[in-house]
Amino acid sequence: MSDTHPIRLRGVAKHFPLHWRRGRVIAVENLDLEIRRGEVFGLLGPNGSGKSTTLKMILGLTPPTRGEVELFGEPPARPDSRRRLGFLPESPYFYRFLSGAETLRFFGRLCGVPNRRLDERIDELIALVGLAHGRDRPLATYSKGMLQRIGLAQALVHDPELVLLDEPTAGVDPMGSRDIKDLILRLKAAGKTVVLSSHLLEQVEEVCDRVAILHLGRKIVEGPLDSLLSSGDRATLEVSGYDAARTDAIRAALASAGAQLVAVGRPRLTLEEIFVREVRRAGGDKG
Amino acid sequence: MNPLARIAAIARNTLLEALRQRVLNVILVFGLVVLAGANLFSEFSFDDQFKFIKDYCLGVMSLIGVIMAIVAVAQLLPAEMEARTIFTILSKPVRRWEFLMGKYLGVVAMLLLTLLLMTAVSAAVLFAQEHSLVSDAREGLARARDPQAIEAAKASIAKIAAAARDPWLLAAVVLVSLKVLLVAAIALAISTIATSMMFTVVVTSLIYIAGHLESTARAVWLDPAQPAGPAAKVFLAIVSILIPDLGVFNLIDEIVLGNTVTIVYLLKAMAYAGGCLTVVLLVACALFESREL
Ligand SMILES: Nc1ncnc2c1ncn2[C@@H]1O[C@H](COP(=O)(O)OP(=O)(O)OP(=O)(O)O)[C@@H](O)[C@H]1O
Ligand SMILES: [Mg+2]
Repeated sequence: MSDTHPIRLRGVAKHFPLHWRRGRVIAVENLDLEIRRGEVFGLLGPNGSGKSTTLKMILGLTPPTRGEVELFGEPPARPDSRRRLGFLPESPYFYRFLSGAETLRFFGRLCGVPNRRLDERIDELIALVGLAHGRDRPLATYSKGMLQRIGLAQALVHDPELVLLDEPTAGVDPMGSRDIKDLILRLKAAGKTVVLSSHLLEQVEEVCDRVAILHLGRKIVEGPLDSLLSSGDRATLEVSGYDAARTDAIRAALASAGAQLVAVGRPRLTLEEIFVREVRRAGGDKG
Repeated sequence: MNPLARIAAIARNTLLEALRQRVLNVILVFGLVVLAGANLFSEFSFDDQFKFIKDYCLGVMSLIGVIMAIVAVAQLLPAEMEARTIFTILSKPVRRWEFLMGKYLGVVAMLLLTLLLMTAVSAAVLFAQEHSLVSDAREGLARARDPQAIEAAKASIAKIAAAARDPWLLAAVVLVSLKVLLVAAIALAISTIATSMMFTVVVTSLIYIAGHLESTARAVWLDPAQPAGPAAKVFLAIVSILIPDLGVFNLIDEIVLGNTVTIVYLLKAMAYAGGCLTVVLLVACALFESREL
């Protein structure tokens, strides 16, 4: 069973008691979640909705108040079940005095990557996340986006089959978040399972197969992105050679096919597309 | 994979981090300067002077060591939480006790380096003092004419050398080191339940004081001339179970005074300290296991 669903949560709740009997914070309540092998799953929700807390429970960093969490069919507190998983925490900082390469070496050792493999692996990862210019600089000099990249690299150091990313694109510029989204899609293509949390919805839209939306610790929506976003029998056609004067002819042609023209608009580039295109053109891809 | 490799990787980082901490460096430099000044106080007869230097140096080493232990350990977990490195590390196949022991051993390495430096400075002070006293005595010897005076001068040179090079001082240094490591372990155990650095510093300091008072209190309560009530006995029993008896380290004072200390007594004290250290570390690991992160 754990082969098809690397993560399962059943009736999970997490309450944080407040001091001096001021009650408690309900961070997560009655959450059922099953992550399928090989999918990209988005955990969405506004600030404070319980996304990070859910990830921490999956990692065994904090025990649930109620319910059951299974990681590869085992309780997550067992180190063996964590061997197959990589994690990027929310705005990570790491040890400031280590360089990028030293950071990866440290985490590689913790994951038991053999020494002879490690050098090679560090080169691969530095290239993968595009940090060649930061390889030998101490992390104290890194920008937020660079920290996020080294964070991703350390999560992948032992080539895990499951990757948990808490807000992977927070604080990263559009180029960087494009890269991160591409990386997630590459992980998926390589057969990995990815769980990411975010409140940047348009970014999630591009990469996720399924999403769940949390609100005040409860799951309010869950499902495949396609079915959540499709609006019945509607479709968008993009045409070239369009002439506004002949809209009626198009309407008629559509009517003869049993369809109805609902709206006409000019497709617009998104600001992100322009940003990415122009920065690429200027050549300063990763500065 | 080998837990030792993971513990070593964590310890190494912790040591590198500790060596970069300005506050620890300042305390260490202060300690070294204070130690180097030990022979500025030279108003004693030579015998007293050696006692003073030994007492002063061991006292400074122990105080600086204890302060550094508490300061270094108290910020370990808060710093890890703040940088969120603790989450990244514990999301790897690292057990919690491995993480905690890695952090502890990193601090231990830093403390041992510190104690080594302070021992070197103390030894230098002691040898400088020996050198100046011996050269004074040699002048006396050169001036001495009658055999009795020559004998006396020779004897005093031998006595100076013996006082300066007492091998028991090494035992005293080992005891100071054990005490510092024990205090670090206590601070570690406290920090696993603390929510702030201040809590760890204050509670560890209180335990340190209570640990020194323990033997005195016991002596008073167990004194047949002063029968203690049952409440006092119970209180004392609880305190002695919960708090290591730091009175064992009073052995250091005996060594300074040049009193005879048997090897057996020394080994017993070291065994007691080692036992306390083990128990405190086990408690720290157990507490950390259930800590919410
Ligand atoms: N250690 C804690 N003690 C008390 N309350 C906590 C603790 N950790 C989280 N909470 C509370 O639990 C709720 C959920 O927090 P969580 O960090 O999981 O939200 P999130 O969805 O990740 O939000 P964000 O988008 O801001 O990262 C919040 O109300 C938060 O205040
Ligand atoms: Mg969060």
